[in-house]
Parts: sequence; structure tokens; C-alpha cells
Amino acid sequence: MNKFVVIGTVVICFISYGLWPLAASSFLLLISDDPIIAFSSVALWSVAVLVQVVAMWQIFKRNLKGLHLFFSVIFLYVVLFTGDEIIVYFESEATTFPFFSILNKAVFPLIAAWVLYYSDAKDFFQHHNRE
Amino acid sequence: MSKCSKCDTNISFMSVLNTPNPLKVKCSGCKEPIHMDKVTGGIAVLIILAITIPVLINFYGSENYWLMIVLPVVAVAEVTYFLLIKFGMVKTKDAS
Repeated sequence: MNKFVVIGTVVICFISYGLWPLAASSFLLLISDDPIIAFSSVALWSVAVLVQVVAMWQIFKRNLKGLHLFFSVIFLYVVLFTGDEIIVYFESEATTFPFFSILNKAVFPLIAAWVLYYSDAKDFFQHHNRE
Repeated sequence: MSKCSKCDTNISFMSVLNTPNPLKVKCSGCKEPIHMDKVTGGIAVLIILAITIPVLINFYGSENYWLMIVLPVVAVAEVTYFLLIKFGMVKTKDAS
């Protein structure tokens, strides 16, 4: 069961926080008037997806270091989203700070991190460490 | 109250929260697996899923979905399942 939980969580995170931003920035590259920003975004997420693939390879080999690398990329997404929200907030001079929007974006990665680091699913990695 | 058959420790909320498999909970005392009765546990899990999944689907796309919908619904589902174990409605395999 732990194996399926780890694989399921990692794959969902990879799609939501790796493939999806890459697909969105690639689409932006096609329609954007400012291709430099869109190209930088595609380059950033291409590197991020490659790092996540390497991390996933390590995770499936039950290596905990892969998990650290994987979540570094996921939280990079949350940090970039937060930065974007803050920039938009200051530029638009909105009255309410988008605190809940930022927190909402961080909830899923935090739940995923909790599942893989603190729930019983972490036994998946302890099996590797005992060998 | 359902207890571990090996060390007689009460099943804790964290044990229920931490398990990926609701029918197999790890004892917080001796770390041995406590198997739930498949009939009572299975029915409880099915009822909880039958309520939570439509709620999650219905509210999908609403503002701050993860924070305002998913987190409270999952918390309520976990607490409900724990209370069903605590009050003996979901039995452990040895107790059933």
C-alpha cells in the first residue's frame, strides 16, 4: 500500500507542479507578444521537469534524497507563484493582500510532503535505509 | 474503545491520520499493525467516501478550493473515522 501511495502522490505532484507549468509556459510561448519572458519560463520549467524526473528515479529506488530534490522543485513553483501574486498586488494597488490565494496554492504540496515525510508511507524509504 | 491486541494501547488519532490504508493502522505504542474488521471498517470507509467525494467534486473550482474545501473535508473525514473506531463501531480484527 505504501508503494502505491508514494507513486500516486509523486506522479500527481509531477503532473501538477512540473508538466502543467511547462505546458502552460509552452502555450504562452506560442501566443505571447513578449517571447523573451515566455522563453525564459519554458527554459526554467524544462530544467525543473528534468530535475523532477531524476528525483522521481531516485524516489522509486527508495532513496530519500530524491524526495528532498523533488519537493525543492515543487516549492520553487509555490515561491514563484507567491512572487507573482505579490508583484500583481503591488502593481494593481489592491486593498487585500492575496494571503489565502498563496496559502491555497501551498496546501496541496504541504499535504503531499506530510504524506511522504511523516505518514506511515515513509516506511517505503526506511526499507531502503535498512539494506 | 478499540485497542492494540499486543500492547493494549488505545488507537490514537495520529495512528489513524498517518495510515495510508484505513483497514490497517499502526499502533502508536508497539508499532505493530492493527487490522480493522473488513466488514465494519469497509462499510465505514465506503460511507465516508460516498459523502466526501461528491462534496469535493461539487465544490471543485471554487475560490481557495484546497484551503476552504479539501482541508476541512479531509479533516472531518479523518476525525469521523477515528471516532467510529474509538466508540467501537469499527472493530479491530481481534475484537470482532
